[in-house]
Amino acid sequence: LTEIFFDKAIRRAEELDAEQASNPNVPLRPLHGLPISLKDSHKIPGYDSTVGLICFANKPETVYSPLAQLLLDQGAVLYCKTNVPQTMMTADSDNNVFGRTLNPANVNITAGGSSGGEGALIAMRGSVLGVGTDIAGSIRIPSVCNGIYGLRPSVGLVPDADNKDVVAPGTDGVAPVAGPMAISLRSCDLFMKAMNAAEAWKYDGSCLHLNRWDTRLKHTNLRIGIARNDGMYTPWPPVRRAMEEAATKLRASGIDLVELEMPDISEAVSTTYRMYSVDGCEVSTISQTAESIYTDTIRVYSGFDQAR
Amino acid sequence: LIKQGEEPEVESVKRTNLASIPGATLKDYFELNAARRRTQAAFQQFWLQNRLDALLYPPAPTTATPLDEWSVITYTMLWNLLDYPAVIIPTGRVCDSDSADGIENATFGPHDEKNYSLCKSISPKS
Repeated sequence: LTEIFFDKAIRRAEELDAEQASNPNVPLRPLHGLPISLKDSHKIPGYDSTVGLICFANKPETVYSPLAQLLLDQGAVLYCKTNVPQTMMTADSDNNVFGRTLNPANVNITAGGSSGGEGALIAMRGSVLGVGTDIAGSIRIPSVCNGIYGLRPSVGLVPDADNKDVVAPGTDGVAPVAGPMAISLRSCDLFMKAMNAAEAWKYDGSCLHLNRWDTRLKHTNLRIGIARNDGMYTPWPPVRRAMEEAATKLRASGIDLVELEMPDISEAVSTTYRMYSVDGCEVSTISQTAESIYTDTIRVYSGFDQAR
Repeated sequence: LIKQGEEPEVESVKRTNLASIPGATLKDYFELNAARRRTQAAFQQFWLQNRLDALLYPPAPTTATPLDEWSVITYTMLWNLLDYPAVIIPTGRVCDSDSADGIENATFGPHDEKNYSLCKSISPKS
C-alpha cells in the first residue's frame, strides 16, 4: 500500500449506512458500501500520488481524479492506494519511495506491474475489486502474476483523465486505460456496469457518449479462435498446459474452437514501442544518460531493437 | 522527473530502458499512426475471415518471472495498439509437472531462447 486512509473509509461507510437508514425505500447506488482499492496514480485530496517518484513525495493532491469521484458518486468506499514501479513503465512494482511489492504466493518471483500493488493486494484478498491502468499490460501482467481477473477495456469507457502520469501531455498515441482487477469476472462486469450507470463521459470528456458495455450474448453458437503463441516468444510449459486445458474445456462445452496462427506482429510491436517513446521519454527520465545505461543491460529485445 | 528527485533508476527501469528509443518528429508520428492503421486493418481481416467471437490467447509466454526479469510485453501490448478489450482469466498455479523442457523448444531466435531459459529458475511452491 502507498496511501492508507482506513479511518476516512470507516467514516464514509458509516455515512452510507446512515443514508440508507434514513431513506430505506431509495434504491442503493450500484457500488453502495463497496470497498475499492486504487492504483497510486489516482488522486485523493490530502494524499500523495508519487507514482514511485521521489520528486512527487509529500505533495498531497487537492482534488479527486475523475474516476475516483465517479466511484464515490456510485457509492464506493475508497480506503487505500497501491504500489507501482518507478515511472509506471516496467513490470516490477519497485521504486525508491515505497520499495518493492512482493508476490504473496512466492517472494522470489515478481508481483508484476505496473499495477503490481493491486495484484498482490487482491491476491491476498485485501481487496476484492481494485482499479489498475494499462498502456502495455499494466493491468494484465500483475493479474497473471497473482492469479486474479483483470480487464483492459477499450479506450473511452472508463475515465482515465487527470490521473498522475509521467508522459508529456498530448503524446498519447497508444492511450493508457483504467480498468478493474478483481477476484471474479462478475466483479469486473459490475465495475463496467457502474461506468454505464454513471455515464462516464460526465467525468471524462474523452469518454464515449454511449453505454457500450454490454455482455449479453448476441448469439449462442460461439466461435472462438485459439492462437498458441505470438510468433516471437515461445510460451513456457505451464502456459502451454493452461492453454490446452482451456481448449479442452471449451470444446467439451460445445464451443466451436478454431486453431489459428497469429498474423505477423513484428511491425505492430515496433510501432507500439515507438508510440511509448514519442517524446524520447524526456519527461520520465533523462535521455542523455540512457545510452550508457543501455550498454549495461544484458537483455535482448526483438521488436524493441527494431524500434530503436 | 527521476533527475528532479535526485534518485537512482531502479533495476527494472534500467532494464526496460524505454528512454533509449529515440523520440519522434511530427512526420515520424504520422507514420506511426499510419502503421497502426495497417495493423488494425490486418487484424480486422483476421477477425472477420475467421468469423471470431473471441480469441483465446496467452497473456504472456511466462508465468510470474524472477524479480526484474519480466521483459516480454508483446503478448499484451498488441491489444493496446489495436484497442481491443482483453481480459485475464486465471487458470491455476504452476505445478511440479510443468518442469522446464529443452531450449530447442524456443524456435524464434536468441531473444526467445533467453526468455525461455528463465523457466528453469522458477520453482513451484505449494
